Amino acid sequence: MAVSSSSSRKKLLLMGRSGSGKSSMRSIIFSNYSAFDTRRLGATMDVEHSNLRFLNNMTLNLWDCGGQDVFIENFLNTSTNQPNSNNNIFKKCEVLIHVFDVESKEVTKDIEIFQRVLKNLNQFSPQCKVFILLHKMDLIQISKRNELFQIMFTKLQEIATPFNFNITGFATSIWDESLYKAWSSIVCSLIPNISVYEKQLLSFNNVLNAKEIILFEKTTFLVISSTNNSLKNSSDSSNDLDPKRFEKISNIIKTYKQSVNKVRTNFTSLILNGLTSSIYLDVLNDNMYIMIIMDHQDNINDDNLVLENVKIFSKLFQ
Amino acid sequence: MEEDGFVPIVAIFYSVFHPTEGTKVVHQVPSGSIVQASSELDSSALEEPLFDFDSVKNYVIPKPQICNRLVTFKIGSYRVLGYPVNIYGTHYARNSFNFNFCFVFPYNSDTTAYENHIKRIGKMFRTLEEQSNILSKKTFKDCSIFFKQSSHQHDKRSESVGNANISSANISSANVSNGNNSNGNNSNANNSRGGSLSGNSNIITPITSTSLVNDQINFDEKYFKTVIDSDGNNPKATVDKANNNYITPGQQSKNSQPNLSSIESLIQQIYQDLNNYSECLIPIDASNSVDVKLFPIFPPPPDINAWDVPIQTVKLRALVDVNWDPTMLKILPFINGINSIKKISNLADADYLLTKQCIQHLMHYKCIVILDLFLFSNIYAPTSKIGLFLYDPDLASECQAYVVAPTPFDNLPLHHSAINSDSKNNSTDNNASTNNAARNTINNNNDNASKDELYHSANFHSSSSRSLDNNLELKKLIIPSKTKLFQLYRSLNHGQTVRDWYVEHQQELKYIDIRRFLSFGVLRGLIYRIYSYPVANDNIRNNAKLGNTPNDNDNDDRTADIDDTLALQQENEDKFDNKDEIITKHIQRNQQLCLMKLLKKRLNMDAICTDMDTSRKEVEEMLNSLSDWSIINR
Repeated sequence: MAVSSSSSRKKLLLMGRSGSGKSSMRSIIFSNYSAFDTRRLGATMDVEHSNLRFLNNMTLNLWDCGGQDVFIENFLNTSTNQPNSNNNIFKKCEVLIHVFDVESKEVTKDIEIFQRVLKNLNQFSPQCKVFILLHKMDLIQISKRNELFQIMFTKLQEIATPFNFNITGFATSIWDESLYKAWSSIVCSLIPNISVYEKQLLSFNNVLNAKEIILFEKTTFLVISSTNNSLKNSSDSSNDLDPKRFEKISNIIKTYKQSVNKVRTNFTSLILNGLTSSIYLDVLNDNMYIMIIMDHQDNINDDNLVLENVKIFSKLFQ
Repeated sequence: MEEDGFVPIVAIFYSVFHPTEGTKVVHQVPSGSIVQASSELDSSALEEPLFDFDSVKNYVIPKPQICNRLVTFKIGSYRVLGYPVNIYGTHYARNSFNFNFCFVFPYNSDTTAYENHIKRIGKMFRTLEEQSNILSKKTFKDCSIFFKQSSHQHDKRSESVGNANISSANISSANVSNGNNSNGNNSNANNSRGGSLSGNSNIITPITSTSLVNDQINFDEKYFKTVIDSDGNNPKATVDKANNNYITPGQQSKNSQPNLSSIESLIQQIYQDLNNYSECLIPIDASNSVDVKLFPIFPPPPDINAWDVPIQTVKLRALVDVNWDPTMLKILPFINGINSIKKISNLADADYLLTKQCIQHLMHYKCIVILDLFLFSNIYAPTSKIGLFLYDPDLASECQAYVVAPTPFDNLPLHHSAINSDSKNNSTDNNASTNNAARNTINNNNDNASKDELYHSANFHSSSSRSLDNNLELKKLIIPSKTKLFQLYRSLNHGQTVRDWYVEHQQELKYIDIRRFLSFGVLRGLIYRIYSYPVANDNIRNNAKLGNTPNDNDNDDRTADIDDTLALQQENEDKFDNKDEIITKHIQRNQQLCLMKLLKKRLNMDAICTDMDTSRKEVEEMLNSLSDWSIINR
């Protein structure tokens, strides 16, 4: 079953106060920086644009907005004073990602700015999805993280309700896999027919009988969809699957990709054979990677067999 | 035009990218010109800013890709020139420091004289900032906003040392990070202070957080001083107490580090000095200064041709001094408005290319204007600006004064044929300007006369000597009226050569020097010269292909050809041709080839005559011999 191929452009606004970590996140997800490399990023002047072709028919326009006071004032004032001008960044927005620095000393001001942003957004793009990222969580002690996040999130939810926005929140840090989880969710919320992917994965799994199959986007390695066989075997409860495994995989593979690049080659596929299971990671089509985790079964799994199956399956995904 | 030709600066401002607030105008002069003046007590402040800074702030401090070059933009009726600088450095907060010194001018003004200076000032401050952080320290009283805050990761090192030592360690480590060339000295100073951070003096550690630094500075100022006083070995690490404007950590003595007392006073001084004196010399410290002197910048001279005629506009002879170029000295007497550049180089026996360069130099300094060759076969016609002659009375009087001839031309033979025969007789020496031949003999004789040479025919020689000899007879001199001059200008048209036109208007032209009349018209844009372009038909190209000379030589290589051909001939014993005939035929052949080449280039007649060093008539004869050709006049 072919996926519809009408191209669509989605505008993502990335806002937040200066130094909150927006450009760092953007560079890690979309430009393959390592977390350490983001140290050398400079302040963003005005707006920086990133374009990402996502899944064949979708283009994501990411607007990374500078967070200094003058820039924020500029954005908010332009939309108030010149609502129809081309500089009004709140027009035609699909997603707003607002970043809060957990270490910020001016939390009230942060929230106030968020409120003003929501107000303008409501005026020009009321259908926009709003995501909150509470960033730099690695600077907080682990025990306090959840609590802090909940406090902040409830407060922000209060702010957002008058505007009829349903907000989703994540606690993130560039130093662990939480970043990938947040961005995966953001991007997946934009995919119009995610259920299609799930169905197809299920049918594929019926053939393969693998433990788990995961779909990744090619450049950013964000998880698109996954299907899991372990639910069937309820007796097999000793393996409690790590809920954070997806983002961890994203993180690990991305780091691996970077190290491979240092040796001047490109990463194409990966086969890991362990004691009880094997992992196959291969290119599915131009935009996606597929990862199959299979148990070693009675009939010996031929690696090539699996890969052939993948190739056949990819045709279904055109 | 302004008095000294430079447009005055409307405003200067210094802006910087603040890490949390963004682009800010830190200093501006005159006060209140760019952003609202901060202090209301300043009575000299402008009430309203000149333009809206917010709309252009992204061009004052632009993205790094545009930085480090001269950036000019227009806002309202103003033009702003700046050299935005982006310095990348890991010790800065946000890894970079951005600033810009901008100059504001009215939009419709010529700011070329300032451009290089603005670039230079920008580059100089960039280097000073890279070397010793003078700008990032001097911009705000609290300079530490620009530098990285200490992060928790580095606490371990500081914790091991006692509290008082932390502050000194951090401040002296700021020495390390900010003064590259003083690294060694500082580590010595550190060690001599009783092992404050002995092992770590080479590690760049960030300064403590904002609130701490200022207190520590004040606290430790005394501490610094006492320690240094007792430590006589290291006179360099002094805190500059005398400089009351600012106290910064890591401030070296005046001799080893630039010290900018105040950016505000600096730009105020630049503003005043440049507007009043067109130059400024403001020392920043013993070794650096803002040194600007405005010079007018002329555009480079256009390319000139061998057939152009230069004429002096200033008395160059009066300007000659010892340092002048010898070629220049040689050609100077021949620049009289009659000789083409090729002719000048021939007469002065100077290399043509050098002559051309000299003339270009004179053009650049506006001592010379270019005319075209004066020939009776020229054609002129009025331009659309001929009305100026009527509107502008000064122009008309100037014309009168310039064209009036001291003696009338009543002795000239007026017959059409007579004139032609005269010119024909004198064209034996194959000069480009046929009619100039007669003149030139006279000109060469009267070389010492002023540059206002009149042209005469052979008959006139006697009258000219008469005119120099003003004791003898006073001839009646009638100044031509403005109306007459205007009518004469108007009567020039496409269809008449100067020769015919002269014959027609002989009476009116009695007291008028034709050459000066025409050159005045061309220079002032009242009339323009119509050039003749000979155009060949395809036959000529075919003839060229048939011709069996394979070389593309110029006239200069003629002799080589002749030798070759002669050598060839001598081999063929059975051909007893006349050697002279061969040579003339060869010369002819070469000339024809040359002519064909020039025709292809689509040059005008003047150019062809000059290049081939022949008269127009001969060129026409050659063309006739080749094939059909026609003339286009435009």
